[in-house]
Amino acid sequence: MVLATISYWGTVMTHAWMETNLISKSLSKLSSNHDQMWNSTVADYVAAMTTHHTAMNVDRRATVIGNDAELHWWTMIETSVPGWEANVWSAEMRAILFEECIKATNYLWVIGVPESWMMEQMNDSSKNVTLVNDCNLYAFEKFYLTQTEVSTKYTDTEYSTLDVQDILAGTNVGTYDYVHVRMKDLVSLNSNLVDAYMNMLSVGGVMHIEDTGAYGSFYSSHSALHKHYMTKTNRSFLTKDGFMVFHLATDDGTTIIKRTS
Amino acid sequence: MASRSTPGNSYSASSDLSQIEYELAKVLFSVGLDWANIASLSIDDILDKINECNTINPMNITNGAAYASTLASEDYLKTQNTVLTIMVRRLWYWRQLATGVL
Repeated sequence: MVLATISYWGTVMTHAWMETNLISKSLSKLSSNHDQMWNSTVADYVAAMTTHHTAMNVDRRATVIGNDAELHWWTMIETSVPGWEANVWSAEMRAILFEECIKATNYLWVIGVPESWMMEQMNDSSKNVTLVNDCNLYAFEKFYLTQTEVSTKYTDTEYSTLDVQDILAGTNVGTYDYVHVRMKDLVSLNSNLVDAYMNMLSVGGVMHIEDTGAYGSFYSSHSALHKHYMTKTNRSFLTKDGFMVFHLATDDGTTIIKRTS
Repeated sequence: MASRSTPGNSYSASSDLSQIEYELAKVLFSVGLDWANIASLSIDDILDKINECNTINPMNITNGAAYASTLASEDYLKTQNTVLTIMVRRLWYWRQLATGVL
């Protein structure tokens, strides 16, 4: 277990996806409004997040948080390692890509790093944005929306919030044409969360799942794919009728699911 | 339905905590721990129990002389150990954050 842990961590830190995302960023051109700037607002937000976690006196002993990138996320991007910045940027670029392709109007989001494009959707009266209730929503409201740069630039921010329990219960089922989640939101002992989020899609809608490649470690499994802890969740996407599933084996991994019926 | 629409003040720590503890309870029961004892359980206790229930034996079948392989059952235990450990660590972390802002 220890060796596997070290191996996994090494994969996280050295996989080429950092470099590929740097290249992706340098060779992409989004509109001027979609700059995904890693600006002082985002830097302040990330710093506030890590300060908040410290203030909460969260147990961060090695045995408690291990090498899980999800639990090191905010402290890792706080150091502004170039690869991390590009990784965040690239993930958001993919979100824009699929939204631009399908012209979504009704979003269900589990929030990540706040950025300009996301705020634009919340300030567009033709779009409905629903955010999932979790600790990142708390941080978004306390440490991002409250910044002067944000409140003065985005003056008509509107969104609603939905609890995970309601998603599991089927509230608003079949109404969202764009669902954006991360793999951490779906890994469970059973497929209840996967089923529930997929059922939120309207026919023709697209679900964008980030990090389905476990930050690259998924792709070092080779013939032993069945041994990876994330395989079961990834395979559960394939078990439902009426959905097309596209696993894009790039850097941290992205899965796109389209509801066809 | 717990839909809220007040930007800036819509996070519900109690709802968040409820969902986190629902998931955490499932893991606890799966390894033989009782949610009723959560107040006296540490994450170290839970991680120890996960290891106890999903013990990974040393590779015990050799495949030729070059390298060893594992039984499918051992692969399953290792994977189960990993996913339970990751889930518990995340849920425990998020539980602390939700509890902290209640």
